[in-house]
Amino acid sequence: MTPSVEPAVRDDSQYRGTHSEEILVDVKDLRMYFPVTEGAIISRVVAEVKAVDGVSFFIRRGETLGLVGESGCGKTTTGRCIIRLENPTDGKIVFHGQDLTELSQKQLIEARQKIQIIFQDPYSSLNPRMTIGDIIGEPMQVHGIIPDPVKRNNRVRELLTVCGLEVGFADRYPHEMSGGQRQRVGIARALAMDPEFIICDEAVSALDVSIQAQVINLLEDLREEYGLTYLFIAHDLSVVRHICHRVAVMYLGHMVELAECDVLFDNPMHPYTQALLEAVPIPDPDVEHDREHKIIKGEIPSPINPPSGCVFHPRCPLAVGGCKTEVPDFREVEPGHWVACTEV
Amino acid sequence: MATLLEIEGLKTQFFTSAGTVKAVDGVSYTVEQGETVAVVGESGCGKSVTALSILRLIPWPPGRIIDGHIRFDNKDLLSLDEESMREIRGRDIGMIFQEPMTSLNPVLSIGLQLTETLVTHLAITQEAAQRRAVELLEMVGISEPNRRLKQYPHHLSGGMRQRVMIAIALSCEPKLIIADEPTTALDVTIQAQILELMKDLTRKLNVAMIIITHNLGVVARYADRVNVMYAGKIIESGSANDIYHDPKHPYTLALLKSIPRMDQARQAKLDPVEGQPPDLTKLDDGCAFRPRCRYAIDRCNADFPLLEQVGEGHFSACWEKDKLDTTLAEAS
Ligand SMILES: Nc1ncnc2c1ncn2[C@@H]1O[C@H](COP(=O)(O)OP(=O)(O)OP(=O)(O)O)[C@@H](O)[C@H]1O
Ligand SMILES: Nc1ncnc2c1ncn2[C@@H]1O[C@H](COP(=O)(O)OP(=O)(O)OP(=O)(O)O)[C@@H](O)[C@H]1O
Ligand SMILES: [Mg+2]
Ligand SMILES: [Mg+2]
Repeated sequence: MTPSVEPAVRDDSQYRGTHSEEILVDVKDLRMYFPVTEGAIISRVVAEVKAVDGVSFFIRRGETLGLVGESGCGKTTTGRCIIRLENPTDGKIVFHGQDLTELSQKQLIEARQKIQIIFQDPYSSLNPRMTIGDIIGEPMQVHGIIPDPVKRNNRVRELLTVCGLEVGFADRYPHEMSGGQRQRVGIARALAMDPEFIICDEAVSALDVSIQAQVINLLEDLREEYGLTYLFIAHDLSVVRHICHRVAVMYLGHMVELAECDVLFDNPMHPYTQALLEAVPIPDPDVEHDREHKIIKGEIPSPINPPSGCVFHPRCPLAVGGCKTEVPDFREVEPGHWVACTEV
Repeated sequence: MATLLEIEGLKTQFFTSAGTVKAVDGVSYTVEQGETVAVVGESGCGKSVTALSILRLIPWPPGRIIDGHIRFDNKDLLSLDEESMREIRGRDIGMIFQEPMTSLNPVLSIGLQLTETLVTHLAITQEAAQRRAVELLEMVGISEPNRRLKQYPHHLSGGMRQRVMIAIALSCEPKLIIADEPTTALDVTIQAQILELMKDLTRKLNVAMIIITHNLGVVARYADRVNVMYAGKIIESGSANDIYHDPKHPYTLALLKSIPRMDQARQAKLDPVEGQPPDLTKLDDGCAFRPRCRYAIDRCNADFPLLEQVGEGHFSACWEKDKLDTTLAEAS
């Protein structure tokens, strides 16, 4: 049967929008080890969780970089380190040419205004006792961006409109809104600081598909309008393919592959990326029918005691003897296409 | 194939201080023996309440099945006494829910939970149950079953717990499994493993399955037939091919336009329906989708369109079902 729901074929490049070549965010060899403690009264460190273990990537101004990988691979920790909600164990985070890990507390507060984060669960991240207007206006007041309450109010209304909400929502409370509306509030609050760079951590994951599509379009419109740069953390690979310019794949604290979006999806090189793409069911019964379902075995090991050598080797169909001992370099195998695997 | 389950005109409502929630509002569908039927639709449209109604697990107060018939294996489920219903649950109908942590008992070992079901429903000895439990764990791909039987749910990963739930659901050789978002909480590679396992086992054992999900990819991969729900009603029903390639309801079309494709380069902006699903306490006689519908006509305000046949085994509840433009809209 031929599909009758046929998308209008177009040159896609213009739809994702353009970006400059300037590097806005440069993350170099980032490591975040969390101590695992034992004992309630006198606690001692018995092990470390290597949540992020030597990750490097950059993001150009105006670009959306997707960060994908399964639960616990270190996506959120990477995002939290960039905005310095965590104090990284090692590595550099260069934003606008400034290494954020070397700034004083005061300098950091200033730099951080330009970086905002939007979380997955819009409910738990909004204070239930504040009106929507106060939630959006608060950061502008605290940071003295718009001290005048009347002007601030106007700006709140403007932001609500930009995010597709009625201005009347300013007087309502979070529990009176739907999930999609709350996510728009989260976006409006992030925009209040006039940021350059926004980390979207599973920002659309909890939303139903029709609402999710609305919020995706909003994020894209805002990127165009304000020249924003996004780190788009998500586990839904179809959303990532849609919105991102480039995509990075993590596994157990390591970066395994990074490439231009379409290159990564059409020509994945790392065996883990291949397995991940293989596992995603496509909403088309014909495609699914013709697809050979190669299903990767095993589960993700614990980051407390990760496998030696290449962390993926116990599940890897290509693994050879050396993979048990040798940590593969993250190398550029083609211009702009990095892979951490000795066998590709 | 013979019809295993037949639901007709099912209505389930919750009587709350905010008003009467018409959670399921006249749902009818059938499941044939050995067939996999998907129920899809966005959050709150009544998928889980339909499933709980089949099992007669609607909590009263505030909820109650107020109308309809459910025939399962030649029994009228809505008129059975509680005792007979308990026998059906867990024996003839197995259940798998989204979060196995809440459906497994945290203080009982895996072994005890498995053997308990077997001893209760099959009247076999503890020893025989023990042997069967080992077999079941092997069947769902759990290594070292003897050791696992002594463990507790929190010792297992999410994927393992879901495997245990599948083992329990299949333990008494049910005729039907109801799986409500069985893989939503799992990672994608683990989701693929679990769904593949469920598919293999239901085929091998000829068990019918109702799979409730909001993931249209999962439906495309695993379902024979699909029921699309919106605001407590089935608005379109057909084979997976009908639903994906020849949708006949504006809501189904809207859903398909809202999901990006992972297997294709981006074509254009997404084209989602505006607005959000209605409040189920404020439904009127018209079509619940009309405020968001691009095809709405006057008639939609007054009359709810019933499901009508549009092709073999393909039904749609829409007055304008023959006028839909099924090409994706161009980006503005
Ligand atoms: N504060 C912490 N203390 C100890 N361990 C932590 C802490 N925060 C995160 N971890 C661990 O670090 C690892 C990476 O976690 P992270 O939240 O970054 O993963 P993720 O990729 O965002 O996963 P998900 O997709 O589930 O959100 C996990 O094993 C997690 O348990
Ligand atoms: N115990 C209850 N009391 C009151 N209303 C309820 C109760 N249980 C369910 N409902 C309502 O019934 C409607 C249908 O709920 P249901 O759980 O079936 O949705 P669903 O389609 O399974 O959604 P999801 O995808 O979020 O699981 C919802 O509007 C819900 O709020
Ligand atoms: Mg996370
Ligand atoms: Mg549900």
